[in-house]
Parts: sequence; C-alpha cells; structure tokens
Amino acid sequence: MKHRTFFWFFLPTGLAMLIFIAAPIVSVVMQSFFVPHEAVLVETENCGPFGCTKSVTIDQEATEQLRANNPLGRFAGLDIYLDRGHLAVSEVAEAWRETDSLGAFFSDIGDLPFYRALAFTLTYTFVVTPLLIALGFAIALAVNSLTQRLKGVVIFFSLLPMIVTPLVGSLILFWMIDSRGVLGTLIQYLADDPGLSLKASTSLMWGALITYGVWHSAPFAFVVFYAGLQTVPQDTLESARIDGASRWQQVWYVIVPHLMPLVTFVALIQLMDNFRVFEPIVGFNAAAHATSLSWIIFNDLGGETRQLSAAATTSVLTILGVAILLSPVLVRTWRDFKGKA
Amino acid sequence: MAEIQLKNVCKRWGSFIGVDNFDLTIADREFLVLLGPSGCGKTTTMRMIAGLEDATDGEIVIGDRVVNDLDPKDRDIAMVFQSYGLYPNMNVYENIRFPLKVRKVDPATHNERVMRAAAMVELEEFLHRKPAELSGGQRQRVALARAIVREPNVFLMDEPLSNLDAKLRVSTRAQIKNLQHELKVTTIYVTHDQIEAMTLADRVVVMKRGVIQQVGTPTEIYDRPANTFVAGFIGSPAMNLMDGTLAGGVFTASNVRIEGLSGPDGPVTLGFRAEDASVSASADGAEISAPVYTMELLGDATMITVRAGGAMVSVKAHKDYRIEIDETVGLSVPAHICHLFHKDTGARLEA
Repeated sequence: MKHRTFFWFFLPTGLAMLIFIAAPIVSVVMQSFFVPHEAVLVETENCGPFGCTKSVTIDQEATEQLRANNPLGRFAGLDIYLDRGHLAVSEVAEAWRETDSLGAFFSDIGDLPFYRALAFTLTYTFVVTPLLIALGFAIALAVNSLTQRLKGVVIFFSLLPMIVTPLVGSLILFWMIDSRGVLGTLIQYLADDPGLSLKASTSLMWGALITYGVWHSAPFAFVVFYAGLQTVPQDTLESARIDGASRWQQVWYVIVPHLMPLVTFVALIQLMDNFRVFEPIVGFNAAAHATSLSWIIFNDLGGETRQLSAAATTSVLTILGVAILLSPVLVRTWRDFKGKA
Repeated sequence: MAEIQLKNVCKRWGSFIGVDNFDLTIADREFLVLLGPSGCGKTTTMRMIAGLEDATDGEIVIGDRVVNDLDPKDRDIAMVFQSYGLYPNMNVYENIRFPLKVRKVDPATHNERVMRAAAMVELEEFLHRKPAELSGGQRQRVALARAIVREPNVFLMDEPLSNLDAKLRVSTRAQIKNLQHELKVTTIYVTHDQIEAMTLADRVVVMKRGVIQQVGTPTEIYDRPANTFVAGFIGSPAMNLMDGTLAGGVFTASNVRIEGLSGPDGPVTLGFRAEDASVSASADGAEISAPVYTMELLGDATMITVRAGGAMVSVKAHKDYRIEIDETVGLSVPAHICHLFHKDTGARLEA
C-alpha cells in the first residue's frame, strides 16, 4: 500500500486513538505533576482595648481566583511520585538505614501503602497467571477428548465463571468462604480451628483472592486453547502415537509446542488484566488484608476529598508497571519485525 | 521380520462400509502396494494395520501376535505420512531421534543410530535445520529416516510421494525401493498412482469401494486384469474398452470387427492396450476403421484416438506418424492382444 493511501486509510482510527487513548493518558500524566492549590490566607490584625490579636482567614475570593487561573493546580514536579503515599523515597531510605536485616526492611516497607499494594498486585499477577494457563489448558484437553454430544454442555459450564459478573462472582465465593459459609466451615473443620475466618486471616484472604482470580480467568484461557486444539495437525499427532509417545508425551512434544504462540497471547492478556486486579478486593471486602494499585486509585478518588493528583500518580505508575511487565514480549515483537524487514 | 495376516477385516461407520472383508496374507519382506482411486479404502486398511483405526470385524496378525487391541506403539511398526507429520519445533536430528527418545532406548546408542539413518537418506548436512527450512523432498526423507531409525518390523507408507513434484517423485521413489531392499522389512505402501505401484511393488492389491479387485504381481495385473475396473485403472493410457457382441468368435461393434476370438456368444466388453495395437497400412480390412477424433504427439510416440464401440479408443503409432483429424484411419487389433470381459459384471472371460 502506498504511504499516502495508508495515511487516509488509517486516519480515522488514528484520530480516535489519539482522542480517546493518547489524550487521556497525557492528561493523567499532566495531572500527576500538579498538586491542588493551597488556600490563600490573609492575616489581619485586630486591635481592641485589650491589645492587638492576629487572626488568619481564608481569602475565599483570591482562592477562587487562583483556582480559576490555574485549574491544574500548583506545579509540584515529581513531589507526588516521591511522597509517602507513592514511591516514598525518603521512607524507604530511612528503613534501609535503620533496619539491619532484609526481613525487617521488607516488613517496614510493607507498611507503606504503595508497596503494600504492589506486593499483593505482583503476587496475584504472578501466581494467578501461570495457574490459570495450566487450568485452562487442562480443561481444554479434557473437553477436547469428550464425545461430541457432551461437549456443548461442558463448554457452557466451563464458561460460566467468565459469564458471571466479576463482582457477583467474587461476592458469591466470599459468602461461601466466610466463616459462616459452606467452604468456610469446611476449612475450619479441616484446619481444626473454629476461630479461623476469612476476614481475620491475611493468608486465607490472599488464598481466596488468588483462587477467585484463577476461577474467573481460566475460561478465557480454556476458550483460546480449545480453539487452538482444533488446529493441531492430526498426522503429527499420529506420527507421535506410532513413534511410541505416551499420551503425556504427545501433549508435551506435539500439542504444547503447537499452542505456544497462544500461551504467549494468553499470558500477555492475563498479565495485563491481573496487574489491574480490582473487583475481587471490593467483592471480598479485602482491603484490610490486600490492596492493589487499582484499589488505591479507587480509594483516592472516592470519599469526600477527591485526591485527583494522587490517583493520577498511581495511574501513571500502574501504566509503567504494565509496560515493564510486557516489555519482554514487546521487545521480541520488535525484533521479529526488524528481522522480517 | 514379520508376516502380516489380515483375516476378513472389515471397517464400517454406521451403514457405510469402508473396507469389506479384506483377506490377505503379506509375506515377510514383501513390498505390497495398495492401489485404488480416492475413497476405495486403501488408506483405511493401512490405518487399521497401524492401529490408528479400529477394525470393526476380523483379525489383524503381525508376526505371531493378534494386534487388534494393541496401541500403535506396541505393534512395532513405523509409518510415513503424505504430509510428513514432522515435529516442527524440533530440528532434523531431534525429529529422527524422537522414536528412540520416547521409547527409552539406551541413550548411548542414539547418536550412532540417528547418524546411520540420516546417512541412508543423505540428510547429514541438514541435521540442525528445522523442518520449515527444508524442501518437500527433504522433509519426506526426514520422515523416512525417522521411520527406519528404530528398525521396526513393518513399514507403512501412506502416499508418501503425493506432495512432491514430478521430478522429485521419481528420485524419492527409487530411494524408497532401494531402502526397502537394503533393510529387508515388510512394507505396505498406499498410493493412487499406478506407476508408483508398478515400479515399487512385489505384489499389488487393486481396491475399489472397499473391496479387493485383484491381487497379483505388477505384470499379472497389467497383462491379465481380472475385470474392467482393473483394466481401466492400470496402464497409461488405460486399456481401451469397447462394448459389442461376440458371435462365432467374431466381435462386432460400430466401426469394429475383430475375428479369431474365442468366447461365449452374446454381448461382451473387449479390451486391448494402446501400445499393443498399431496403425495398419490401409483402412480396408483393418479391425477398426474410423475417422480420427484427435492426434496427440507424446514425443516417443503419436497417439491416435478414434470413436469405436461406443468409446474413445487410443492406439500408439510411430512417433513420425502424422494424420489429419477426420481422416479415416485403419487400426490393426489382432485377436491375441484382446481381453474379453463380461458385459454386466465386468469380470474377465477366460478363453
């Protein structure tokens, strides 16, 4: 295609991407460099019969004027990025100086909201993604070996977790695992600890959130892998059977290599998705034990004072996090592209 | 070393019959070719021997074991597929080594065996390439090497040359023939190409709609086809078949009169091969006399085609022979080159 033709062809898409994707990101990045104006204070001296007193009042008019003139707020540079609510540089440095073991250092860091959220977000992302890929693949293999008549029904049931609204799904699971729920009671019975409760145990809560994450996203992996299984070359599979490969060896040497591009695809999508984990934390009411970057953004924006700048900063950090997560794949795609050119 | 016995083997899908009552003993070290048009059941028969398909009825015996209920890997066979069936993620060396690896053959012997197999099909210089970086012929040689590396008792080949171009087909065909001779392994080879069948086979099985039509050496099949189907399938061009009546040893049909035959009076189908007949000097007194329908130059011969006995009849003439379309030509078809078949059943009528 000629460059000129391509330009006109691409223009509408490009424009839409600019307006609806690039511009908001730019605005969020901008916002993250500014803090709200402080109120303009006026000091007045009142002198009376008992001497003079000074009082400070807010000059409403001047404050309004200042906000109208500079709606973004006061330029703060990287201050918000470095403050206690975000990267907390000085707090981290202090913790490094004052603790004498790595364990103590990390436990200090864990009290900072950003790092606390990051710890859960990363754990969630890197535990859930491989598990859901494995589970989705297992379901796909199982469904693929069913007889034609059963397939439809089983596929429908396998997809249910994805069809159910995440919030509802997590709520249902939450109620079941709650200390008065079916699973909660079972766990108490198995652990022989009647005091064990989801709301009280951080590790149980993390476990529940991760279980929910795998349960919710496995159908996506299943659908992709099931579609991929339909394209496995039959004669390669038959070759393997005749060459003497067992069922597992057929899966390992023929099916898995064939599905590898799809595994990359699912991993990519799910890394992105899981890094932005949010609904289950709300659904499980888990903020006391586990927070995520998305949850911090939500929390900053909620409430009476909407902390736009803080939320914007966390958003930018989240975007950077996703970019870092995806960078290996992006680098590889770029290399392939260069290799072809 | 294995003899293969197929005892009344059947394959049915519902009411559809894929292979009907296949009964044959394949001798040890024999090169047997299953030949027939698409859908005749030849591939199904092979897949049943391989264990990729279950036989509905009958017994399959390899060596002295009934293998009906054995997995493919336990039947001690190797198979070569039309589309190669290589493992795209492994290089040539690993592809050839795969059967040894999954069968847990002593790893110390792997290298030597792989190199020997690769040498037999002249692949030594490609061992580190992936299948995608090979030509079709090279890929099929990898598949052959993978089949021979384990030294199985039976080779099964499912149209291994069909995806190759004409020139490569000839050289690979020669290679397969030579390999089989060297390895002395019972081989079953499926093809729809009668030239492959003629050149490779010790014995050919011609099949049609799941039923064996004729079993014999290439010469027998060519010289004494058992019915009109075999006659019409083997040879290039296929045997000319004309419908007519036989009365007192004389066959007559439109434009045709052949004397000196022996057979029952009544309607028959008469066949002869294009290369056995010739163009006679004059149209008068020739067995077939008709206007030329078309003339084709083949290089080594000239093919004359006329309408006779309700069919197109071709005869090979000398390569310098020339004639115009619609000119009347006389074709000499002596009785001794003719084959007679039953008009309805198509079965051969013996003299």
